[in-house]
Amino acid sequence: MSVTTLSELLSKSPNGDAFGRPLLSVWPHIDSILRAFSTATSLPIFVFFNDALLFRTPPETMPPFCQRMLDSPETAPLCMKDGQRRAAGDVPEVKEGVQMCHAGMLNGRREIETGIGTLVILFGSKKSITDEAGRRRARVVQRVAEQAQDHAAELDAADRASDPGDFEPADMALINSITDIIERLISATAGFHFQTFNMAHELSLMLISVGFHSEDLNELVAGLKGGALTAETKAQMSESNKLIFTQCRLGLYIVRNFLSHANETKYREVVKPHFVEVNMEDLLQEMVELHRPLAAEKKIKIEVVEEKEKEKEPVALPAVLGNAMELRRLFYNVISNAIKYSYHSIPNARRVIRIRRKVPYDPGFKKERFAVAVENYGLGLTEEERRSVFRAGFRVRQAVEEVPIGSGIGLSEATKIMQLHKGEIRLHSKSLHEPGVEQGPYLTTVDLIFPYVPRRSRRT
Amino acid sequence: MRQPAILELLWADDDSRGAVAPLVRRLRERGFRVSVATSYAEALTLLSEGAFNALLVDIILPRADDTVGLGSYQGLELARDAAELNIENIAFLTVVQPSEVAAEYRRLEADYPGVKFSFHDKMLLLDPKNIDVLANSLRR
Repeated sequence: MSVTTLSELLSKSPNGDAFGRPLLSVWPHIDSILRAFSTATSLPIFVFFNDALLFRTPPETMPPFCQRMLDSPETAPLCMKDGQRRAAGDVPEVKEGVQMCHAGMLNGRREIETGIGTLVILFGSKKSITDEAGRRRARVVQRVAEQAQDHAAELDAADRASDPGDFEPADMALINSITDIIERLISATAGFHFQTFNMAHELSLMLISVGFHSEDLNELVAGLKGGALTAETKAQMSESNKLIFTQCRLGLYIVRNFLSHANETKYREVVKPHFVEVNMEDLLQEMVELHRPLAAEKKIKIEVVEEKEKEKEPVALPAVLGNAMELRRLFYNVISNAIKYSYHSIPNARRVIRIRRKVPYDPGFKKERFAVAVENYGLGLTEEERRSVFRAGFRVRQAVEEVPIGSGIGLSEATKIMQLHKGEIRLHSKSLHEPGVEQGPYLTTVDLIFPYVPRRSRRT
Repeated sequence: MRQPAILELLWADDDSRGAVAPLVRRLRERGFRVSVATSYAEALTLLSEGAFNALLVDIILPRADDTVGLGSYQGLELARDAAELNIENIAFLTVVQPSEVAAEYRRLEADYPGVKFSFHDKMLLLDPKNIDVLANSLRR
């Protein structure tokens, strides 16, 4: 039985494609740990994933008897078959965590659940000198002798050359520690992936359910005959329902952000195949409308500035080749940040978010580009902070002080989405207050810059 | 002619029917006859009994013993069973990108060329026009 690679094993599993990635990413580290452990302890190691042999240390790590067994095409299958049975747990333990193989050698056995399969690590082999072990080895040699006298003689000699031994408490402690390290490594990667995925599933179901119910409630309220509720109450209920619905939709973007940040290790490969022509004008309008109720709660207006091209037609955003869902998430991250970091407690603060279409963005640049610029007045950032603002988990000082809740992944996710669309994201923060004033408003602008093919070129 | 019928599957939690009920109502309003199963086992029983020509399945689905396994995309496995049972139209609900399950999806398409498969992002279902998209994809 030959060693199969983890990616081969995962490619056969329906779940391997998605859930196998975190395990694949951590497997080289596990491989190194096991090799180092084997070298340091002179103990061979076999690892099975479900029923397949995934890893084995080289023959020189093994006692002479095992080396001779595994070197021969006649006897190697006996060992492999026995290994599989022990990996499957079909062989009783001779003491806690230790099994005896078909040839009387002792192996430590540890099992780790990965979420998409079970890793069984067989640590061995120590030559047991119990009567039972002796009988097993004699049986194997006798069986071989029936077919090949020479090989049987070699095995006999190898048996005599193998030093007897047992798993002492120190060996068991070492095996337990190594198993624990591997288990934690898998838990922190593959396990975290599964947990966040399942949590995202639960949360999104909950948000969808609440959203649907609020929509239904709105219909019910609208259908109530006069007298059941006052017009004012009806309007209030309708407003509340609208807000619940909006919050549910926005909450789903938070879930998606988290999923993307935590799980998508091959983001480009995952998203790029689903590119289609996306109507950016419609998408922008949709996302602006989604954010209006939230902005209104903070008494912030969102203005999409109408600009005219050469005093004639209003400028419209060109279409881009992209992923609509990801572009929605991009707008979510930028517009919700603009709302979150707009001042609301300062009297006379400008409570407006302006969204401008810049078509083209930088005429004369090597390729045609347009931009959507989102401006807001509020918290700002220093030049030094600006350099780190696109890094996941980074939050600027003012933001941490004034808006304690925030994960700091919004702009890093926005950057990821822009890069996927061969675009660029720029952030400027201009102080609008007098020098020496400790805190005051900033005008912060985020430019989302996309490449595009102007209509005239597309026609040719 | 049979009515288009959909089998909706979500995980086996008492609340899950509550979560799915509004979506079921919206599909009924769009002319579907809808039955609901809340586990792989229940779904398989219903599918085997016949009468369905479409399956709407959440990619995450409880196992036969009503537990949700970590990393379990049992919805994909149920889709294979459904295709074997000649269900013509199979739609997946998911919170992941379709390419996350691309290999198995490609295998399904190759193994069952007569079946129409489609993916639907759950996040977008709160927009009524996307329920129309879902409903249309469930019709041949």
